[in-house]
Amino acid sequence: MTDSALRPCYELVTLFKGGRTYVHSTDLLASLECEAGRRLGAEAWVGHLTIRRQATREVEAWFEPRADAFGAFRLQGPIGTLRGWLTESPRPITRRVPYDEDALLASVRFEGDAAVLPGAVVGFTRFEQMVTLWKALATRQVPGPWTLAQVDLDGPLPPAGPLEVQYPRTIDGRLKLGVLSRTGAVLGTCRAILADAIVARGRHR
Amino acid sequence: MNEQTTPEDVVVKPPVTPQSLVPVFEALDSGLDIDRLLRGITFREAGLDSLDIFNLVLAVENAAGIKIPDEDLGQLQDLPSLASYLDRRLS
Repeated sequence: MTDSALRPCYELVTLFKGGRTYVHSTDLLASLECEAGRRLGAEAWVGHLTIRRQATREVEAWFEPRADAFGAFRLQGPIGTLRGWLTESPRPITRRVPYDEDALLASVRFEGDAAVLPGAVVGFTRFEQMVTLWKALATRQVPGPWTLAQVDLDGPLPPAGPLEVQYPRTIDGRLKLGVLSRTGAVLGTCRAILADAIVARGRHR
Repeated sequence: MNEQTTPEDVVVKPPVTPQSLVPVFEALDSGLDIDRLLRGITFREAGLDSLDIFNLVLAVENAAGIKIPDEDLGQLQDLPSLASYLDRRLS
């Protein structure tokens, strides 16, 4: 491990995507996956991510509990797991990168109660493809500002091939348990919540 | 780095008491003060947000092998009422 890999805290996400004014979960996942690789080896992945409220300032990742955390994560790999917490720094985000989700949405197919991407979409990460699928299906079923509050992955996302999502369980019309699969094999789950339904709390997780 | 019990590992069988549901909360790893819940404080008073409630419902359904209808959710405001509800459903 390098010296930087041993730090208890590091800067995670420092940009906005497209017209958004909050840090996107796909950027958190991508940045955390890089850190998983650095700390746990090339085969490591982000096994768990919880986001309890939107972040609008630069995000920091900590490997020790934080009372001011807005999220938490778990990195997993062949040599073990690492828990971490996400906080917002005082620093505002000033960088913005182009992001055209419509181009990705155009590739999404709805088949029965599932949303499917037949294959990897050039120009978008697999995290972006996964999250877009989940949000597109939730919005199709119940229009509204859905947010992914929790993502759990059983392993690294496959770089190619189809992705399919379904919501086998909906609670009270505003909480959805999503399943991500590829040719019938489950890859992970999500908890999608109508954005106005989640109430952040002050204690650390 | 360590392994811990996950909600999928917990099984709830009758008779269901508030104490018998403690493993469900422990497996959720939510950081909640379980002693306060056992004394009857409501889930909201304990600080559970929508995601916590969501995960609690899913964990209880998995542990008890039942599905909780939306219309029953309003009854489940605290640990004692949740235990009573599950005991009725499972007995």
